[in-house]
Amino acid sequence: MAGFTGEATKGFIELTPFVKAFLPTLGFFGGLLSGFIGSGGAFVLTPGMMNVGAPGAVAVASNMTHKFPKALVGALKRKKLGHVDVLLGLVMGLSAFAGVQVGIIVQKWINAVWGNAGTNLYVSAIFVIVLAVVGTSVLRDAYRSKNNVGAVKKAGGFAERVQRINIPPMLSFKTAGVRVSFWITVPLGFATGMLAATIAVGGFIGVPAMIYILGTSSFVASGTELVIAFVMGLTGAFAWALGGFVDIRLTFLILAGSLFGVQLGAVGTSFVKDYMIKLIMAAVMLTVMVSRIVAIPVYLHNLGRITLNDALIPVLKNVSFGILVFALLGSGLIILGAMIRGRRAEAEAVGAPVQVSR
Amino acid sequence: MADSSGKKKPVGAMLTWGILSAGLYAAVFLNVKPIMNYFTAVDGLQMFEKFIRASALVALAIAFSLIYGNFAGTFWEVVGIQPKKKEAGKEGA
Repeated sequence: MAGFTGEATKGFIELTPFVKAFLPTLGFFGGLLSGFIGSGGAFVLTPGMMNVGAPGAVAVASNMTHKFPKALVGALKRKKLGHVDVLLGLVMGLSAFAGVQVGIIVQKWINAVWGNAGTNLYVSAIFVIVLAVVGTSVLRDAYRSKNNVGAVKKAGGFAERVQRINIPPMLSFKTAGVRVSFWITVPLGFATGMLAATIAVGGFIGVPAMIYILGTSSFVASGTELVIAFVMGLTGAFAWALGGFVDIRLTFLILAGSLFGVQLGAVGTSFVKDYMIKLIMAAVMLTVMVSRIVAIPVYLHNLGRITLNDALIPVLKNVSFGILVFALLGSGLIILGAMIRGRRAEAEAVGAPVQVSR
Repeated sequence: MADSSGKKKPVGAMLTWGILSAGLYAAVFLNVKPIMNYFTAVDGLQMFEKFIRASALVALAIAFSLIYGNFAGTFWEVVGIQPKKKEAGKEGA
């Protein structure tokens, strides 16, 4: 692509036929994940754009601009299923606004000091740390939930203790079924926003925080996360747009797939059990983490911190990309498989003379 | 599912939203160079001008998503993909 004024400084990529086919496909599977687990499409989309050559700042900015309208569409769909606590979403979303602003300032500073290679490394490093910590925790809990369905649906011991902290004002979230202090909710929203501004995936803090700290179900946490994603995505995208970092071509290409995926994923939640959402979230987080670990030496090489053999760089990039595609397709197929099994079970229940519980 | 609910499939709505989506998509990609310059060449501009351009970008993303989102939603309805009927907000499936 030639002729953009901002191309030289911000590094906007050329739209090859591969990119034009890849990004809507990536968007579809990313949207499928977002609609299903409330977040997470972006953790595939940001590295995906970086893998086809977009600089970290442009990838995050374009991703965030695609994310908030997609979240709006997904939230409207999940609201019909009773999975969205609007008040909780707005309180956390508005507090996330402050976190987004701080996160953007940090990343713009890194971009100014170390350039695109610096932001690439920073984004990848945060990805690895967050995915490792949260991914393993969610995976452990998913297995516990699977083996003990019914007992781990409501607030755990920690969440119950949090709900007993009585620092006014106390907020009652009816759909979520919890009553918790404003002063606990706001810091969780702030942390969610900071992470979102950095890697465009605040939900990796927001969803687990709602489940394990506030005590909501996975369904309400993942549905409400879409409201948070909309609020902070809107403000974050605006801030990135002020700096001219948003590549509207990438945003539109991703939306072309993700708006189909997000609605399909939302429908999919009505066919699965609670632990399935956690299990898929954890599996994808850990797989993408490995993809980012493989890519980090390339960014260190670009920064001049290490020296890699020229032949090794494309190998690392391709391996990282392959793992990403594996995570994306694997999780998408699991979700689609769960939906098909659920639909089949429903059809059998309708057709059978005696109601059979699943 | 949609088939068993007896609801009429929104084929007309799907086509209308689909045509609107295609029109907006084509308008952006046929004019991609001036549009990209408008949204990205902001260095040195007054804050008010940056604000206007950022607002336009956000408005464009929302407009496209609502139009295209309605197309996608009606598409899934037409092909029979709808949520399983159950009590709203209940856990498990």
